[in-house]
Amino acid sequence: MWKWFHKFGSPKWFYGFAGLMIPWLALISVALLGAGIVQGLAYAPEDLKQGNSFRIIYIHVPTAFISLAGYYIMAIAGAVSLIWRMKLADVLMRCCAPIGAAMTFMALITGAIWGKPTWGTYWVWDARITSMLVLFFLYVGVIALGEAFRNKEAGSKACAVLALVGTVNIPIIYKSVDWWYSLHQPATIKLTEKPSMHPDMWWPLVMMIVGIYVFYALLLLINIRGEILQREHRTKWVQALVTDKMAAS
Amino acid sequence: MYFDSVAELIDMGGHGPYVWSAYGIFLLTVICLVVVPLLKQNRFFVDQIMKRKRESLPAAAVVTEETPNPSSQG
Repeated sequence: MWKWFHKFGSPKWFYGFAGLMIPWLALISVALLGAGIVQGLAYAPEDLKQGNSFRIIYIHVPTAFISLAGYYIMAIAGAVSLIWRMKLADVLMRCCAPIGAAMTFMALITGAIWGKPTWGTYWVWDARITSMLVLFFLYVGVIALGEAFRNKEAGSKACAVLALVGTVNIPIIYKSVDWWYSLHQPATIKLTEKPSMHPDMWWPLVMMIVGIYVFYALLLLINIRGEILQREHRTKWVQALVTDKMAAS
Repeated sequence: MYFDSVAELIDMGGHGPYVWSAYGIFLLTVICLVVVPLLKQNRFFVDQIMKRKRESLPAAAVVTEETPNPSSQG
């Protein structure tokens, strides 16, 4: 178990492992997202109340899901890097922030666009939307805080603490539609209940959610590889990679 | 297909601009999320190769390249 833990924590090993995984993850995410988008846009039936604007659900819900799940990943990675000073956990935490910010941005923008034909307004300051905006600022905060420190180690500590403190926002987002009166509809999908949607509407959504999780993993691996190269650029193995690239070019 | 024609698919019963702009923003962001880190990684290797080439140049060549010519400074 410990041997595995150490191997997993080795940047060199992880760089190679990520390189092997990337093509597969790319293939799976393109297939799932591609099929989900085509099905969702052209084949799913229209919603009785919302008309065709409901088709935004296929990008709004998956990006919102992953922005919340991604925050947990970032906070857990931050905790691991604080407690065990694992290099790779710190790299992971730093890479989660920009991807998470982009996902939250997409959830907010698609939600605003969906709000116009459905609620008659792009934006309302209600609990769900405001807490999602706070999530976006938390992600941006982690990026900015990391950039503000010249000493990388001190920056990482500060980022990890901010990420951990920010987790308090996540249950608030989940529960906001139940706790407060809100324009936002309650959860469409519950793991414990049968879906209330028609299967033709439901399956594209499942494909998109799984697809965006796989895509998120793909993005993390691409970013982690880049960050590992930057941090390890003085090591022998990275210099050997440079030699290979030089020979190939 | 749920729609009878491509024109109907584009119009989406009047909701076309909302739906298509949301999907457009999604696709654009997704493409940027993939391309930007890959370009950055490529840049890393280009920089490293340039650095090596600079270091392998003879010392005299590096000096003349980096010190400005005193005669041209008025």
